[in-house]
Amino acid sequence: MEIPLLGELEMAVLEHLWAHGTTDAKDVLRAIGEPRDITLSTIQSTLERLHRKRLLIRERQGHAYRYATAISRAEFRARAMAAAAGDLDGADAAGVMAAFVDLVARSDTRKLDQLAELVAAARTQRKPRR
Amino acid sequence: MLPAAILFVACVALGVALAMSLSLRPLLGALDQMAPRERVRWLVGATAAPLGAGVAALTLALGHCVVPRLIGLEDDCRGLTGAGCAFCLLLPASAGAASWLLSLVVTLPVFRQAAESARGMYLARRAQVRLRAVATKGPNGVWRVPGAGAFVLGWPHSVVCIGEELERDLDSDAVRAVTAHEDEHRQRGDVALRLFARLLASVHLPTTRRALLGALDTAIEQACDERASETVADPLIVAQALLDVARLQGHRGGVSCAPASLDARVEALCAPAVRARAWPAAVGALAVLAALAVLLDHQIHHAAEALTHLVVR
Repeated sequence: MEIPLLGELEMAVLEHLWAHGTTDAKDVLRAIGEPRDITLSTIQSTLERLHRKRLLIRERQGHAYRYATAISRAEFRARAMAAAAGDLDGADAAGVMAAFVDLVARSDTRKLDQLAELVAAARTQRKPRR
Repeated sequence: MLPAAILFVACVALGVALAMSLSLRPLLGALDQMAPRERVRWLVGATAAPLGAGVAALTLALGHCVVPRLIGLEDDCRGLTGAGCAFCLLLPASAGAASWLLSLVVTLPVFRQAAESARGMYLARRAQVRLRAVATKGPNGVWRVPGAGAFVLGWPHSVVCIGEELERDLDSDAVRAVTAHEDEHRQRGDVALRLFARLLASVHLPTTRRALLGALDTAIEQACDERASETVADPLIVAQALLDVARLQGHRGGVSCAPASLDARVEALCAPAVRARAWPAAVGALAVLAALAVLLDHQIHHAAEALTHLVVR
């Protein structure tokens, strides 16, 4: 399952559900909606959207639904990072990203060892500049 | 007029690009002697040279007699045919379909690069939204994200992301160096600079373009390495951090370092060279070019006229 793009409110709702377990729209309204001056219908539509995106499961209790997360926070983070990695590759190729170490699918541990020796030699030759 | 101007600029740009392609090795050799920050400026200038020369030549050519005509002064230029200046005569002429098609073809690389940059900006924005969902925002606006990466992402709203594994596995000085390096990218506006340079470089020949952009990327990274060295007061900490991050990313599989850039950066940090100042040479070269342009105004105009006549008619 690919993680869809989420808005700020959707993330806040998900975080609340991960922290508090199964809950209903009124609980979410009290915890997230009221501090942000958001109405119950906005919260309900946010929960509905998350359910449609398969990030929440729900069951009817009387007239209301009770919601729970469909995946754990750790799984969500892993999948979101995997999805972001694809975007990052494209952004890097187009020059819209500058990485500390270039993100190129190439690895040469022997070269890294040689460079480490160079750093060690430089360290023994001169004191750090202060 | 527009196709004539585009084709004229393209012809001049192609000439300059060919000349730069032939002199690429000594050019990059000379630039290597400079300090990174100065080298970045020169490399951006080098990527802009063909387009800049084309636009400058067009301005000179137009300035000789087209502009006087436009503002109602008498034109004493008789042109190549003697009946009137061919370059001026192009001004009112309606361009044929072939001229339009040709001018579209020569501008295609620039449009293609612009489309590529727009796609990159969209991908970066999408990656930002995805990362925001999993990031913890630090007090200085740095996003802590899963993984061992460290990067600045997106334009016009760039964000600095530092990997949680990197923070966990590196010592505090190294983390400070990495953060200072990435923050320097954000403050200098390097993402915008790289986008701009890629657009300008699209008129270069492919091998020259790759070499110039590669050298520019390395110079930008070295300029930020310098800032990181100043922050932690020791370039060797930055050099060690580079190797540690490369190893960390290598262990995770899939991504690792590009050896050429890493070599140059680590070597520069281990043995900072004495750098020559290049601005006197630049000022001298520009003064000579300006003097030549004024002295050879008439010849430049007629060369432009002949070239445009050849291409458009």
